[in-house]
Amino acid sequence: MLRKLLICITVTCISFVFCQTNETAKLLTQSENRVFTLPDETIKTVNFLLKSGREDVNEATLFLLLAKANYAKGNYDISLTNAFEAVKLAEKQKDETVLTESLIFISLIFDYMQLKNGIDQLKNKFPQNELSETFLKYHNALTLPQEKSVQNFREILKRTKNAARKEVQIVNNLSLNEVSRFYAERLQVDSAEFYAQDAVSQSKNDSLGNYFLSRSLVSLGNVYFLKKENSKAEEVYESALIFAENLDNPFLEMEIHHKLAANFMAGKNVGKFHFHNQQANNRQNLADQNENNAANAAYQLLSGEQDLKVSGLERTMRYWLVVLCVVLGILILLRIFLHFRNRNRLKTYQTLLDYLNRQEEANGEARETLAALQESRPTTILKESENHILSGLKRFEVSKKFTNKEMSLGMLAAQLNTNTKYLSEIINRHKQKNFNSYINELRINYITEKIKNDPTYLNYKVSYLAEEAGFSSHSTFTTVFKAIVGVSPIIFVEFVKNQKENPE
Amino acid sequence: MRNYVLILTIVFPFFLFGQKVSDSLFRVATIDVYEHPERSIEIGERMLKTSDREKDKVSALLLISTAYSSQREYENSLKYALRAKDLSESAGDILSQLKVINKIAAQYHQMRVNDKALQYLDEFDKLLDRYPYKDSARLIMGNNYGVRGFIYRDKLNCDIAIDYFNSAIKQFRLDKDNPMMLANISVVLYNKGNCFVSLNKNDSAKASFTQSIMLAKKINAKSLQAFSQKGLAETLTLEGKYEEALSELKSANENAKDVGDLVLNQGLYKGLSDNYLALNDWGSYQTYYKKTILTQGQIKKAERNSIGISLKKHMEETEMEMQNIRTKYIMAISFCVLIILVLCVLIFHKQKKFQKKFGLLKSRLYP
Repeated sequence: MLRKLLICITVTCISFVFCQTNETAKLLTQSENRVFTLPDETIKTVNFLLKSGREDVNEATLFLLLAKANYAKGNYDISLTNAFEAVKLAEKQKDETVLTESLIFISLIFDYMQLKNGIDQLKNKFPQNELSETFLKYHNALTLPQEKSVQNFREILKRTKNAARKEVQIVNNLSLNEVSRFYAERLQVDSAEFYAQDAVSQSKNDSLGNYFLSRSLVSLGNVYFLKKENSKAEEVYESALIFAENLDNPFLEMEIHHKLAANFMAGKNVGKFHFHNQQANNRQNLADQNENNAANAAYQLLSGEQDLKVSGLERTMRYWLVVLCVVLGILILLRIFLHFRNRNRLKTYQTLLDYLNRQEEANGEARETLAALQESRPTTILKESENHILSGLKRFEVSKKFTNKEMSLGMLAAQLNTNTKYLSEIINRHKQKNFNSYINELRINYITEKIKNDPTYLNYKVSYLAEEAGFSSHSTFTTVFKAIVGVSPIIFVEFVKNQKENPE
Repeated sequence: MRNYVLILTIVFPFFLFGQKVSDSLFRVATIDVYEHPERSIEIGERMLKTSDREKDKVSALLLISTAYSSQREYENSLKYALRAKDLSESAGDILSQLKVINKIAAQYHQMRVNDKALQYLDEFDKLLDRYPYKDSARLIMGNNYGVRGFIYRDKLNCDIAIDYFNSAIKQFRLDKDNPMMLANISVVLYNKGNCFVSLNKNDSAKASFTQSIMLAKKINAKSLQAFSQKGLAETLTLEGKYEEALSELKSANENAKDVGDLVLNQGLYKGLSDNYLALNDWGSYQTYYKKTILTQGQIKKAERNSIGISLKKHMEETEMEMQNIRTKYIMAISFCVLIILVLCVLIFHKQKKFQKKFGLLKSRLYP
């Protein structure tokens, strides 16, 4: 029962998520298709999606959509801000499509505003692809002298004819309008009409949206105006105006009102001429304000781009400096570490060397001292008993009896059949040390020999070594070992181990 | 764009007539402020440092402010205007305070931040109440009403704006002998005429324009005359008197020739093309229509030019900053690399020495 319920919940969750993703995709496609017809709806949808913070939508795409919608509305400042945001995100995500499209809309606005520096600054940002190439060709044609530019526009038209991609279709539409304008200016009305009609039908067939349709209709209206077909021109301008008003684009509205005013003037209708002139002036105020804001936004955004370069450089430089500082720090630490390690190793080896030397010397000296002492003996002990004790000590040294934990002065005296006083005096005199030092030294020397010569001792623990040497406690053993050898038993074992492993 | 000419006349009197100019350099800087704003800023800064009279300092600050606004650096412009305001306040000189406040209001209006502009105009009114010598403040009072008129025209409607234009004219008229006053009256009348046109009061518009033309002629202000002639032509066109309109426009065009005001030219070309169109003279229509479009492009280009200059300046600055960063960091990085190399050599050397010593010790241990 529980399992069934669980499966049910999981399935619902998955389908819900799936539905949402599907729903978002649908919303986006819908917005994309209608952005140049119903920009306000697109703005609403995108703002909703941005607020909801869905992970399944690409933010760069959303900002690009906002840029397009505001472009259609003539809010060039907002359009620029969004397009720059889209560029930033697209660069981060390496999304070439969004990057190219965003740059195209920025350039279209800059072209309209005649902001040459701006486009120059952005040109090298265009990624290498066909859309970029086509658009830049269009952009260059705009700056050429007219005769030359019309050739380029015709080439673009050939290139972009029947294109499937919306942005290419847009470039095609804009070029058609440009060519129509070129012929209209030269009063070659038939050619002008041909291209204007083409622009209108192309924007309809490719459903580019009312923004582009309106612009194309203005081109057509211009042709009728030149042909002095004033009522036809009026009809076309009026339909363009309806689209422009629905888009709420002051730039388009202003242009159309100007055209209508001129058209009425040609028909000597002063009243309507005045009306449309006033309307155009009203829109002009709005358009000026928009353009002014856009110019300020452009300045802010472009100088911001430059500032970004500075901070980017500073970041890279700082990164390398930090890396180098870290390396430097590591090297300093390494040097300090090596210094102490080397010193320790030298000290250890020196101490051991001293110890081993001492051990060897002690063996040789013992005989000499013995012989020498036998000559001069300012003592009360009989020579016989002294010799007896000394040979007893020798036997004791050779035997392993000193490793007995119980071994004491009294015990040794008893074993050598003498008294403690005699024994103590003889040890003091012959060994130049008291009994405790004497026995400790014997024990430590014994265990170091063992460690050196018997590999099994290398694996023993310190406590075992202490016991083996005859020490009752592990800590006494360590202290005594260090006092005599100069290093701790662990280091000594390590040293011998190393020597065994690397005998060079 | 339409109040372009007006802002100029409102801003300039501060320097040219409103107060004594301390030296000829300063005068050059004020006239040059739209052509070479950078130089004006430099001179202003220098004057700010060297002069010890508060009044001169205020003038210098206002000059810098105007220079920045012509460079589109509105924030900087406001910063200096506000500094001038503080300074004039601390000096207790109400007249210069009034001037500064007017300037700030005009600045905000130019930036199209009309609410803020109105706030300053209100502050002006409060301060003016405390100023006893109203006679010496006629020009500033008139300017204040003028700015109000422009703001209300943009924000509300022409009916209200006309009231303020009338008040401005009334103030200017009180000081008839001052040629600057006449110029300002002419400007305000021109704007009043435009308002009448948009209110469809053709006769009143005509009267305003005619009066404006008369005053402009009196002081030989060609650009003002041309502007008002353009306005008059517009009213004639609306009456269907295309020929008369054309002759007015042609005369205006003649007057505007030496002025070199693109906004004025564009308006004249448009008027000419419209009237030729009405007279079915397509050839002349085409000529002037093309000229209109061409001038429109030039205006846009000129407007963008300041951004271009600012951007270029900014680019140079960033380039320099980047160079500085590069130099600074490359020095630090090279220093680090050098120390690292020295340290590497040292470590290598020390290790070698150690190995030698250690080897010797070992050989003695295990002969």
